[in-house]
Amino acid sequence: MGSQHLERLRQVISSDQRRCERIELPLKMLYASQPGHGGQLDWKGPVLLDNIGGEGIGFNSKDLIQENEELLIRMYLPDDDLPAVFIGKVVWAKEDPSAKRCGCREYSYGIHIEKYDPQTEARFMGFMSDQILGKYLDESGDLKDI
Amino acid sequence: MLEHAGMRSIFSGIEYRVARSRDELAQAFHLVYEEYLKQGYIHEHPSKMRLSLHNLVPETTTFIAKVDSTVVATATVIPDSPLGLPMDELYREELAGLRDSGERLCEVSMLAHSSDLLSDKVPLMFNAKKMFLIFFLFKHVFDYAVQEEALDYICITVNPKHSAIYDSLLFKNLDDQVKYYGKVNGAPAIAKVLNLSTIEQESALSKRHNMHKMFFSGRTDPRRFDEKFRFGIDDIKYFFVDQVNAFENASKDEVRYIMDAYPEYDLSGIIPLHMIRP
Repeated sequence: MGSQHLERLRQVISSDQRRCERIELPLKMLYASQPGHGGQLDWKGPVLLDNIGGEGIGFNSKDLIQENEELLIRMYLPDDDLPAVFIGKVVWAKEDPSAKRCGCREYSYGIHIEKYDPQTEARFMGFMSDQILGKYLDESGDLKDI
Repeated sequence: MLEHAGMRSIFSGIEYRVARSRDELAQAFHLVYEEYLKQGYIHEHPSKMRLSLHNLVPETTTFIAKVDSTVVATATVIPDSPLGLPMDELYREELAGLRDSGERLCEVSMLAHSSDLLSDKVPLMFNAKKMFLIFFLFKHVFDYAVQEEALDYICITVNPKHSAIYDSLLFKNLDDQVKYYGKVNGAPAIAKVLNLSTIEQESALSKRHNMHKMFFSGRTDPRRFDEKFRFGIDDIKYFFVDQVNAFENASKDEVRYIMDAYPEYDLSGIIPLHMIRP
């Protein structure tokens, strides 16, 4: 009886499969395929993110990108003079059916963040953690019940 | 029903405060042992506890997050004393500059949370539940250091793989060099410091408004710092002699300091004097 809350807490936490919070944020980003030796970067975009988490991002593009392709990503965080730069891998790709209805082709992508630029990691962590805190804290800094 | 609970309901059942009993302290020492062992930072020890002579310094304060009767997270604030800080083993020279300027230091050490509750693989800064579990503990540590002890710097050594977490919390490198810590099986370490006199302003300027709100919108109820457990002579014998021989590598000066810190006890009867270095 003495550990009821602990057991319930375990259940709540273990039932939550998400390692990272996902936040819908329309941030601008550019992406480029990783060049071969001596190759030029062909930046595509800007595109807007659908969502962002600590380990990945989701976005739509008219360009077809293959699964497992590695992309160099440059993302623009609000209130930050420098872009966040990292290498991401396309872990899933599918055609967006809503775009098809409009007679055009667009694709949705899920990107796993593989490696941060050394200047990016702490800034990106600071930004993401601040967004997550903002989702759950009210104006006075107390937890919301959501 | 907690099953469908929001964040406030989940955390309303977690009590954050100083450890107030021998059992809570024992649980905290055990939690640190278990989690450090899983990380490969320490070898097995029959006591299944992680503690040192620094825990016996009267000003050392252990914070716990407790659910029902179980400690699920802990951190210990070790103010500077004649024993120094645990990180002096690697960073005495780097800390000398701060000490020479008269800054009052503490080290936050023995930070652990139950990986049974929240896996180590869950990234702290990207998972709301883990973030609040640890940040509420940090908030207590921070307010204690500022409100109760009027300290100037929080110092910490972290594994470089966690360096970005502390950078994002506005800690600064005490030294950029990675060193290797004998206390944690030779794991790499980097030293960080948080300037308590400038952090509120730095935080306000950082444009991380929610982080600022989290740490600066209110003060911890000072009653959370009350009734800190004070070792009796039986507790000293239990933890620091019988469970872990914390006096094993102590110098005579260190033993003398500890004896003077507890003038009401005759510690000469329990400290194994033959193990003290001449």
